[in-house]
Amino acid sequence: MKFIGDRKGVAEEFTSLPALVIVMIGFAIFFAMFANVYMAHNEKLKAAELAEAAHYIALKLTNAESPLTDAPLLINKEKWDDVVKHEEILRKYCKPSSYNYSISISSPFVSDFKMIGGKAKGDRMSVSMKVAIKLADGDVKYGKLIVTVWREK
Amino acid sequence: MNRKGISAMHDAILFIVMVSLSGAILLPAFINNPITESEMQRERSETADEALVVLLSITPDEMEYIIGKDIIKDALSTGGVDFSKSIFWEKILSFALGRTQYHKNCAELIAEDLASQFSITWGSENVRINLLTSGLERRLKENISHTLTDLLGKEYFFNFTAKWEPIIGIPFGGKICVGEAPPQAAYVSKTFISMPLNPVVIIGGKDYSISKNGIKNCIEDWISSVPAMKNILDLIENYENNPKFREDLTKNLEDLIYGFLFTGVTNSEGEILFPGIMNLALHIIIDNISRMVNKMVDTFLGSLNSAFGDDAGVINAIKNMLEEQIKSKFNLNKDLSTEKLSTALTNKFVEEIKNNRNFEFIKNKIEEYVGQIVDYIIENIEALKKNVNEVKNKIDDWLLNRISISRAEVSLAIWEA
Repeated sequence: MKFIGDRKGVAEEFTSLPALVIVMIGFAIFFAMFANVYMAHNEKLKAAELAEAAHYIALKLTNAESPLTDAPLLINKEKWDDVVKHEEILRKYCKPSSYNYSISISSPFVSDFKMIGGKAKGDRMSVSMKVAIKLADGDVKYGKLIVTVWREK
Repeated sequence: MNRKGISAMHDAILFIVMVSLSGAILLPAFINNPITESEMQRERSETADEALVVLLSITPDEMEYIIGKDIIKDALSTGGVDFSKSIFWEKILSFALGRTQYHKNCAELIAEDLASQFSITWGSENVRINLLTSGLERRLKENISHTLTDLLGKEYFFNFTAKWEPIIGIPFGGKICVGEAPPQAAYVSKTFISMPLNPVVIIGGKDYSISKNGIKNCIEDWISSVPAMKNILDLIENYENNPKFREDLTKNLEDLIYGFLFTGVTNSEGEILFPGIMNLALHIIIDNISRMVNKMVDTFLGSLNSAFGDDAGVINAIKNMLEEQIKSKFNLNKDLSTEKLSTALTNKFVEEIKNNRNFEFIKNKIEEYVGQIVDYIIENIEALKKNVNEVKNKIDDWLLNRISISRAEVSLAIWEA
């Protein structure tokens, strides 16, 4: 009580203000950094989610049951051309909810593979997978299947 | 006691708490995200799987080679023709014996090459008997190297190995290796390819199916009539806990496995029940080489209009040349007939395994296999005594697990450049 009631102590309140300011600045910096890290983390999560979805689609499109393949990782050109004409076959087989995707083939041996799927909108993620491409019986080359995924608005 | 010190203490505690909290919250922002690292590892592992499957599926470009080029080159050199300077001979050979593979995929070509190599580790050296297909192998290796470099880019180094060992762990069959030796920390993908073999081999007028199921059925047919198997069952039924039991069991199991893998299995009358896996494999290899020689002669004669004589003459000349090579390499009797060659070679191999120090690792391997099943039998002797069929099944599986005659192992190791 003696300490609180001591009128000489009034000056002490003013001396604590600079300390309070430093603490407040500290808090402000801390929360700014916290928000920054949170946002960066959130972005990373979103990108990871997109990558995961793209990877899942690529795996699904290259397995043995896919309407594009003859065997795992063996894309048949004829089947690809069929799917270009009737994209719904592919959507029926693989349509992850809330994602959209397009697929294309890149190969030093073939250039006439048409892209399947629409144009990507907003944030997107692409993954590629090495595939064998059957152009005709007894003519199999190698290339890459590129899957681009984006969120449906 | 100075009470004014309390506020300073509060600040210090608050400071420490805030710094710790900040550290804990911000730490993930300053270190590498462990999820990303595991994803990278998964990606590398998947890259190896994808590259291997794709490589085996593709039909290689520019698969042109000359059958028997090395042998003919040697023969011409002996006759005074400098092959390296003569475009004429190269053209003639390419015209007459040149082959181009258009439609076979890489897996089929690898399997064909493995089946026709006739490679064997003899002492300290690896001997390749069939030189007819060395051209195919050279082109195949170039193609594999080129394709994998394209597929993996500059990010990775690689090692591709294909191995056909009809008797697992015994260096006899065929092997293709492309790339440097891999380090310990490499991503490895492994798979199997089917061998391009006739499903049935005929030896001594009897048909032997070489699929795993075919051999399993075959073992089931003869296993009960083999003296070594009868002895094993007797020993188990009349089990006595003494060192002689282990000794006798080991001896009979060794007889059984040597018979099954190498020398052939006979019944008590000496009648051959099974010719042995090595004998089967040798027949397969010789059949494959013969098929190749026949094709080669067809092409040769078709192209040159019988300039070198009749078909049989040329086939026999090439067969004789191969046989002479085998006989001289393995110190076999020069008068041996073609029919007895594979049996003589098998017997020579078994003799070397048993007596030659260079083959000790094979002997040790077989001792290890036998030791494993002996330990199993002794550990479960009471249960096995009551159920002898279980012993038979166990020994069937044990024998079958030693062979891989109808498939070859293919692996791809990749590591970062």
